[in-house]
Amino acid sequence: MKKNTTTIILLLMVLSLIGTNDIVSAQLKPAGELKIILPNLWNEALDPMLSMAGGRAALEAVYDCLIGAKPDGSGYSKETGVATDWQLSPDGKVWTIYLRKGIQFHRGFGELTAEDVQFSLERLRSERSVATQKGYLKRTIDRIEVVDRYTIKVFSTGMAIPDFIPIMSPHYNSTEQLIVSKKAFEKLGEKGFATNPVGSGPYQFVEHIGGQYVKLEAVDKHWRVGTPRFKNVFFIAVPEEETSIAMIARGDADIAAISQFNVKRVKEKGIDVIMQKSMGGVTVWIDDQFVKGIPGNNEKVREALNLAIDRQALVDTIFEGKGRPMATFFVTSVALENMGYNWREDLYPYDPNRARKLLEEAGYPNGFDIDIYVYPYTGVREGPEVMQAIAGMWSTIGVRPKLISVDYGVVRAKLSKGEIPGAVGYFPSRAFPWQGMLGIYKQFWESSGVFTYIKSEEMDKILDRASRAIDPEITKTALKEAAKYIRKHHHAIPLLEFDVAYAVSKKVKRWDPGSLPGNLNLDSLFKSQ
Amino acid sequence: MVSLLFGRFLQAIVTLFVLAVIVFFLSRLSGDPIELILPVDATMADRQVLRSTLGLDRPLTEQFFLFLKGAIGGDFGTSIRERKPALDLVLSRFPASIKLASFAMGVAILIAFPLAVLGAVNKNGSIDIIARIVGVLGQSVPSFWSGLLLIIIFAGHFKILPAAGTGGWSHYLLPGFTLGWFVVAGMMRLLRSSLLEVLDSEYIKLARIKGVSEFKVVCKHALRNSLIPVVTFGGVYFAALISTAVVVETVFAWPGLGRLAYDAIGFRDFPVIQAVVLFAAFLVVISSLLVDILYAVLDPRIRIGPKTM
Repeated sequence: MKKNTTTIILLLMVLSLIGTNDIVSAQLKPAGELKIILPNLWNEALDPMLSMAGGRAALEAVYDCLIGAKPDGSGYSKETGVATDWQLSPDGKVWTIYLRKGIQFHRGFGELTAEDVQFSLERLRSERSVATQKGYLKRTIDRIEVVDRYTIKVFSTGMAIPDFIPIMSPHYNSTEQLIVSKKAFEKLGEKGFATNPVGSGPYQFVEHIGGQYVKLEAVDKHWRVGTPRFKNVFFIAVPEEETSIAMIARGDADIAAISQFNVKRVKEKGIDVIMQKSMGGVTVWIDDQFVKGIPGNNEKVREALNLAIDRQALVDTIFEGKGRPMATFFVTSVALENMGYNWREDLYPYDPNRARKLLEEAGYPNGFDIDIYVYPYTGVREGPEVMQAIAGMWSTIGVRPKLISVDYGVVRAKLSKGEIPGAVGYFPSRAFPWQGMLGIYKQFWESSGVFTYIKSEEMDKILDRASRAIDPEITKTALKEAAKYIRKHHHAIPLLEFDVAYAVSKKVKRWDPGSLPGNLNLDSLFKSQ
Repeated sequence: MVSLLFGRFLQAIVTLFVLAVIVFFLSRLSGDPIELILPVDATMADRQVLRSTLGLDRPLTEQFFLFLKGAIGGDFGTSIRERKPALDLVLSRFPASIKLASFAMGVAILIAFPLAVLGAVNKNGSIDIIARIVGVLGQSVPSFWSGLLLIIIFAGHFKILPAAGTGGWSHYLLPGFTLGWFVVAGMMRLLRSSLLEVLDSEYIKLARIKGVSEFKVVCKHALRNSLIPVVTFGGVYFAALISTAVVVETVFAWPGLGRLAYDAIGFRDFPVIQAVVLFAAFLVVISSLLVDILYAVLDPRIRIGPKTM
């Protein structure tokens, strides 16, 4: 009897172990679908060479990035990218990049090696490439050499290239960092690869229906994510926000970005909302301030325009309190804090009385006319509302705003040709790393910049120092000086930064979207729970 | 018939050429695609590199003649945005548009025909009034509003129909009804007016005197002769629906020609804008010709050519 009982117990233990293994195996198999809504699939290209900045979201699941980044935007990561380490030569002209071993491309196209990285970078500089940094890469990179199977060297054309690494990381909302399979490209050809891309990410390409969706399927095991959680991932293009909210409500999608003014209503429907902190902002520019005789040429006028804006009211009403006032040009608080810049010192008080007094001192006791360009901008749905609000605030100090509603492309063209001196409009602030500030600041604040607002020898010297420096600390210090210079002379009207809201299904309510621009930190969704 | 076809062919060539000139130059007035592709920190050299890659650095007239030469051979250039042949993109989106337009037409016919017949037969009665209200609403309510309302009610609130995309038959209901409702009004009013005129004719009176049932009088004798203006309207409108359902396709994320045109305009994708416009014009030209041929089927008295009547 005792022997039979022991046998039964042992049998039950063995059976339970088998059952447990089955359960564990079942949990470790990818299952279900994840559906992510995007306003569009940008230019619908799945080849990083043909894609452009906005098309990154769908590609970050298919490809791996050369340089990894921490999801909170605080810096690079040697654990999440293809590169395990990178070093700059003392003269700043050569990068040596060491690659991770054992990364496998999809569909049996072998291991990712230095040849693939060299191939990927060379393609970006090629004739057919429309990569956003193609010009930069052609200008600054002379050649990329394969040192051994897991090491490459990047040689500059003669200038220091400390900013090569930031461009190769997810901090930049573009596709230059994504590594493709050289073997796959050689086998499939350019057209074949464009319609059937091969990467090394946690998901491989299955299907692309133009204007509709991209469908991906989980690989068995990924070096970074392990066994992916979902069997299939869809990136679905839905331009209209109300439609995407209905899809989340009905369970036809899992993640959709929504405007701040819809957050409360969406929550009332019982839909969860997740915020991505400091993902964007609104900075107002004043064009061609160097032109004599226009109000924008006067420092007191610019200060008055800043003081007349109640930034906190903008955050509270238009962004439902999900944001914060800012006064540093073009960069969000996360990036500024990462470079040790005290952005709070820059904040303006709301003082319309002082603003009126400044206008009088500047010789505008009866105010002046100002053109305000209003346009929708991807990533800042609330932009036109913000501009209308500040037009109202300026009218209380005697300024007479004329709102001009146009397409963004029209404004960009006018700005680059210098056709609208003294007019104002807005750009979205960026959440990129401080290293990304240099390129932006050169275009807006250097006398030779494409969109330059000022012509200042002092600023030219600061930015020159920042460009030439090999030591990143010198660049950082110079950029801080540049930001302070802009603030001191009130050359810009930075308004606020905001958190981006996502309506999500119950399936992904624990998702952490991170703080990288254009990046949804999909790894946090892909990892099995 | 041959002379008609030849005449129509010449008309089509001239129409398409004039349209090509207009769309080519007008679209380029809207702005520079380079400014939308490149980030704000791109240098002038970066702009020049991309402009050259996309062939936008050539003189405008040279670009136009290259476009014209290609278009004659069926090559409308490469999409600036997607880097694929523009005509391929148009043809890939065409099936989705034709399916939606067909469904919308079906909805329009299903609603318009009964309402028009009942309205004409019961002139100024309650059904007639209801029919006219339905028609006016269809023409006056903006499709983006009616579409969004349907999405909020049926997809968001009751969750019984999908809000977006293509798939099974249920995906057609909301966008098809939204698109079709606008057509209902025009179709219904045309058919009603035409029916009223026909119902007043002598041969209809004779039929009634002879004891033919009212149902047969209306549906067999009167309706067929009332269809000519409706066929014209429907035929041309069907072609227009295929390529101009921009708002409905955007609201419902329907991957058709209208949405392709919308995205192309926003992106300043000139080759695709040109391809969509010329393709749409071609469809309208073809549908007009088919409508004319259909006349002869509906009314044996109409003969095509100078010996008519």
